Amino acid sequence: MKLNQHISRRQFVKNVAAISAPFIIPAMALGRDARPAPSNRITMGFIGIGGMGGGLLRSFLEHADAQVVAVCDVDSERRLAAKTLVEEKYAGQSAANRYKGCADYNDFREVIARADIDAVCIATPDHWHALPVLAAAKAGKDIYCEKPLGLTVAEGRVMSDTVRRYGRVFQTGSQLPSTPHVLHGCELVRNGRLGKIHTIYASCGAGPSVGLQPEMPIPEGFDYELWLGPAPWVPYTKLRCHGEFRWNLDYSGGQITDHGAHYCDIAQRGLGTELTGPVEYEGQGDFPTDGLYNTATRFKVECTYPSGVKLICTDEGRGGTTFVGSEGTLYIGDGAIDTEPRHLAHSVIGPNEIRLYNSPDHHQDFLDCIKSRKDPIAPIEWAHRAASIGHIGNMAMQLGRKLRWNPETERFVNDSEADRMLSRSMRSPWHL
Amino acid sequence: MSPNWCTCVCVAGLLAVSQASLAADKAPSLDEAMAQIKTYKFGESRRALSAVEEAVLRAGPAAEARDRLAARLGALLAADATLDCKRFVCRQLATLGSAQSVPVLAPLLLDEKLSDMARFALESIPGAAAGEALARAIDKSSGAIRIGLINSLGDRKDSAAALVLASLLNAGDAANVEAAIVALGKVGGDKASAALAERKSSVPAAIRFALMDAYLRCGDSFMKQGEPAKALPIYEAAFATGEPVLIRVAAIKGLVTVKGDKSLPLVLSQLEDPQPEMQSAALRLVRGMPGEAVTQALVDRLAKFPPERQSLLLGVLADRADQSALPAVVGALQSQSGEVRIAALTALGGLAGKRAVSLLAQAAADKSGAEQEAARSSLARLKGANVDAAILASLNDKNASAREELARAVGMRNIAGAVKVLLQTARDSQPAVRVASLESLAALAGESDVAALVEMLVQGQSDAERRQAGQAVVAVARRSSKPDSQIDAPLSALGKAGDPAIKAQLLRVVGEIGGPRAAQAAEAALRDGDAQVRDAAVRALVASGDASALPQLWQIAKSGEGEQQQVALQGYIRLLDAPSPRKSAETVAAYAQAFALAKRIEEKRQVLFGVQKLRSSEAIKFVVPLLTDKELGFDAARVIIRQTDPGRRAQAARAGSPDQMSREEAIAALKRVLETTEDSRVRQRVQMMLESETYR
Repeated sequence: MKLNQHISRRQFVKNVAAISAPFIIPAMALGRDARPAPSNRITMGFIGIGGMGGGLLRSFLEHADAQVVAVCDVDSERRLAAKTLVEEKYAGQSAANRYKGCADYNDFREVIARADIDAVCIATPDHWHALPVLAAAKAGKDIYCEKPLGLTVAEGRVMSDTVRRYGRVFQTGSQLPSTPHVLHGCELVRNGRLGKIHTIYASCGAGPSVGLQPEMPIPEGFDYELWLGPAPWVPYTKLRCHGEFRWNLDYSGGQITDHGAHYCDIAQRGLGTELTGPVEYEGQGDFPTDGLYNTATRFKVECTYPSGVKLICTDEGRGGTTFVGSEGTLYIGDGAIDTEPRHLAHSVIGPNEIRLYNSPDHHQDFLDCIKSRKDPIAPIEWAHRAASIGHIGNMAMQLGRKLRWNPETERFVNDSEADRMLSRSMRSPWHL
Repeated sequence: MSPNWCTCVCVAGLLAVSQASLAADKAPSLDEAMAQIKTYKFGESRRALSAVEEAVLRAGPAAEARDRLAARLGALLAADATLDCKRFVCRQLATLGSAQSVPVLAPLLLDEKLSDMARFALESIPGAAAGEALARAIDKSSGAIRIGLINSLGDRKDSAAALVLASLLNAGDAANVEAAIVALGKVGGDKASAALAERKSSVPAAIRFALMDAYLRCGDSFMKQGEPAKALPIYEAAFATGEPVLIRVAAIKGLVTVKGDKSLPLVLSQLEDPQPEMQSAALRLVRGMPGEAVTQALVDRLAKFPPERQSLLLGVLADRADQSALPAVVGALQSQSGEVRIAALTALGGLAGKRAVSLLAQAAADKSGAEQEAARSSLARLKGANVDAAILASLNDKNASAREELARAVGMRNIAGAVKVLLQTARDSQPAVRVASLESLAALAGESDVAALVEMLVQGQSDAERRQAGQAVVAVARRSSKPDSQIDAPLSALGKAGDPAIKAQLLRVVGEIGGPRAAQAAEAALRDGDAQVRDAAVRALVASGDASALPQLWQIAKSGEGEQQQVALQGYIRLLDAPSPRKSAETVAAYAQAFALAKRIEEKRQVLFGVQKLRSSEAIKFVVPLLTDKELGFDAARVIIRQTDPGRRAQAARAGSPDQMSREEAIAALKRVLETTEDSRVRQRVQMMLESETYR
């Protein structure tokens, strides 16, 4: 079913109110290898099909208990390619070798308005995370959303509150904890194998800059107005959009919120501070003073936890999280852990020690939790706290002074100037 | 999601402009910058803007200095400045502005091109004046501007705005009313919640959800402020029959927060609600409600539910970790439904203690598939001080399959002091028990056990046993603080071994431990009379990771045959990446030799990706001609992008080890990529690299 391209707000709300979620039979009842009957699959819509969204789409297509029924992107070329990918995949699984069941949309609201969709996967630029998440939560959808959670601390707070208010299952695209080496690394830290932790390095990599860019004509098939959405209006230029959004503070926070979301998340898991965070931030960064990009290229932010542990977010070092303790050092990267002394890496964690949530497959974990209604491995509040470290780190660099943060109230201590940077106004008619 | 290669390159600074070069041009003074920004248009240099922004961000807390700068910026809003300048100024006033900025911002609220940015500032400016300006503009506005103004009043969360917003609930079109509803939800407090409550009975169906959502938000705000008595009627109203199910879901969560234990009957009743969404919400809530009474209530309902809901409820009981649920969980093991039995076995892992050891071992031994997996997993997770002792004591169980499961669990549980027992069970009469014991020894054995493990390898009665004993030795070496010294025992055994199968296993162990002594032993074994041993020796040479194995591997790659030749060539290419005193030119020459020898695309690609780490003149000269190769052209382009990455180039220079490739060579290679590659993403990357400061 394809809805009209221009769905009215009234129609949208009406559809949302009419939601009737299916009661989904747990996969284990069906056996992992067997594909559930169509009526028992989790129907999914994909919002944002760029590099990351495309990867997620391909992954979920491999999960037997998910059925992709809609794709959405403001770039018509991308969404049509995604639609073809989905339909070819399912055609290959059908007896007739034909399948035409994936609708494509320009506007995410049309995906969310469909009462037959159980879950959405959101892989838009960061400035377009909050609004689809909020709309999806209020429409009763379960949500997979890329990291960092929001563009600002305020967005993250509203997203987390809303998702939890409506009891939605939310998985963040922080997939590293769903790998055995990250799980093991964090368990080593939590069980004191490194002794007392005093410093953690989140090595996020340097950010780029680029020269001045001219205003350009908007490419045909690209809905630039909707791409900008809540962000301040500016003329189109190619390097503003798609994968380059990350280097502009109107749409993202640069490396400290991009890779930082992963590596700070691991730091928080290692420390067991997933629901809180550091209380002091101080740092320096090089923000390009000319050219199109304006996120920090080089940076170092020292974040201090109440325990005195320092989390250093920096562009330098081997990409990943490095825990330094009184008895050793542990590096956790994308594909491996390294320890010093080396034998620490092979230490086995017993059942009576602290065991962390084990999710061998990040995307399957999301689907399983939709059935069990449990929080998955990367729940929204954890994602909000990890993303906040990057957001506040950026603010500390921009303001050039030490910031004292209260994780309970999520306000700065006696610093109204800094408080003003916790949220950003949205272009009309968008709002949180 | 892990970054793909393109992002990786970008992350590493693909587009990095030399900040030093940017800094070389002196930044304008604040006075100069203020004058320059007046005519700013998008696409022009941002230097002056950056200077002003820096001054704003570093203005400090002193009101006088902040106001002085804000006044200078505000003057630009009234002046004949460009639109882009005024937009920029509004952003700065969001950070810096005060009540004194309001008069210059307020007129812009009705300007179609500047309204959004004026709100950007006014939303952040503290004090009543900003809110009043927004409120005053509402009556004079329409369409998107009016909606934006209402949104901003909500985002300021200023209780003084509640009456203004409430007055909008009965005026204007549905979009305006809805915006006012949402804004009231954000403002919260007595007036906002009262206004929403009053409108509740007469709101059109299409915006009823928005109203109830805003009303619930008021309830949540009251809870955060420690006023549950004010939140309670809101949640009760939202839970009323007839409200949308999601509103009721949110409401029951609120009711549980306010009422605590007293809400249990209500939550339990919702487990049987006809709407699945409400059942799910109830399941979620009971998971976190403490107390044995809750557990008992859930247990009482367990048998009444259909199998798919029983399994979900068993999951909830497991998460609650209340042992009083244990009899019911054990009872569920007798269910006719496989799904329920799996859920019960899984639940036992979190709930039961030593009493479940035999039960789970037996289940793991008797069942298959998902049930067996669940039983094994639970046996490994059982908590309690006496569980380990119970498992060790049961290792002499009469049932061999149960012994096997228990022996495997010893390793999975990391039971301290169990090595002695395992060394005994590794000699059990049943092969499966021996293998399972060796698996556990791989997790638990220490350096002092290596000799015994090697002996077990030599005396093993099957390949599976020998392989497992070997893996245990390798595991000990990897855990060891002196891994090299763990090679002594297997080397000694290798010298004495006669059986080719045993020699092959020992060579595998020696190779995995690695180092020059492993390479030496493997090289000697290449001359063995048995083909199985020679084959293992080639693999051990590769696994040793020692550069001394390179000449021998090259010989085999050149003159060997079949799989052995392929293994040797792949190993040779891999070992070229190992630390070595060779010069870059020598390494590139060795890669080139391997490339010439390779017949399969896999090895050719392996060479290419080996060379990509070398950022030298010779390396890039090797890669550039491959751009026109039909099969490798795209990969060659990727390699060149990595080799010439400006960020890495700058990083290497900073670290005192600059690239051994001139800037001109890098540019020529990138231009060659553009000439030969049609892939749009690669072309875009290369074009951006060529535009970067490093290569411009």
